[in-house]
Amino acid sequence: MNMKSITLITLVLLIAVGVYLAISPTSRPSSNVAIGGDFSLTTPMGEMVSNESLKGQMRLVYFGFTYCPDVCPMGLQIMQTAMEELKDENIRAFFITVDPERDTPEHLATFMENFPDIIGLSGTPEQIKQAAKSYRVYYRKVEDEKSPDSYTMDHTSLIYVMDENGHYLAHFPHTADPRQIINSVRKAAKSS
Amino acid sequence: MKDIMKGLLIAFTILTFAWLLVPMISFAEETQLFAADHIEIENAFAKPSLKGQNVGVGFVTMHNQSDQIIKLVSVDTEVAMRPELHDHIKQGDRVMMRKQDAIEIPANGTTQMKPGGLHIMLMMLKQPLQEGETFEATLHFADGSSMPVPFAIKKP
Repeated sequence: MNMKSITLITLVLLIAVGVYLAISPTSRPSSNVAIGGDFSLTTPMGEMVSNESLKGQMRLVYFGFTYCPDVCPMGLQIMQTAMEELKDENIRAFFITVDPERDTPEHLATFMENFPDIIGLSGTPEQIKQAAKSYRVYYRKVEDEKSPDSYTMDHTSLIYVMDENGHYLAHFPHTADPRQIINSVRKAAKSS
Repeated sequence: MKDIMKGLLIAFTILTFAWLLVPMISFAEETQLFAADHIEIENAFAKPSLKGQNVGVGFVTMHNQSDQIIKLVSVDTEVAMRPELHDHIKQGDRVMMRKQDAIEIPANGTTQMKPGGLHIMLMMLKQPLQEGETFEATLHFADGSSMPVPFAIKKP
């Protein structure tokens, strides 16, 4: 094999590796994934909550809406169970509504009584849009032409575990075992 | 004479149609109760409603003991103003809820409603759903037959 063919083979291999790297999925979950960031929302009691105001506290975050009878309560129940176990940790849990139209502060306050260790957050449509953008959360209002007086919301259903600086640590589906969340929080708290 | 012939022809036509229609009507009567008679219900329950929540969710497992597909087309109940048939669609991490015109129960098969999947969405609850209580809902099938089903209010 002469020098010229070795160079050619090397070149072809390099191009192949380059192409593979370019097209292969790059979204490996890690603490560097840009989930989390600026947001400014309000609790039903009128307390302003932002990424800045939570500095020094770990957080669990879930986006949903209270007219969701099945999936959202599942996610919230998992968070509530985890929070009951995590009383000794410096952590707060939040439920951010993607339906501020129906989830008024009064309604959200009543609903959150079902999950005493989770704080409901709402805001203007723009503030909610900003929070969802920070968390890469998708949501959309879906109207049914057969029943125009009611609508549903499509939304990303993930429980985010965020560190004390508001950086992403992990995420879990609404069907997760609360122990997975507890372990994730404990592990992060120990290493920080 | 011509008029008599015409009259006879009309009468004959009407009788022929009637003769053809009678068996069709009786056939329809025979099958009217078909679906409800061939569905066996298992584990009909609804989740206790949460404080501040005026929507509820119910589930039922339906066994079809016939050789035909049976379609559940609607539900009505005392506890909700507007019960609807819904399904959850999961696309990656996104969840979507969609109204269904009907839920099929395959011939000699089973359709199970369950949390995160097919369900009866109890919209505009008239009363809270208290754990431990029961309520009645009527399932309506595509052939016009229906059956009352007691739903237990419990956690899944």
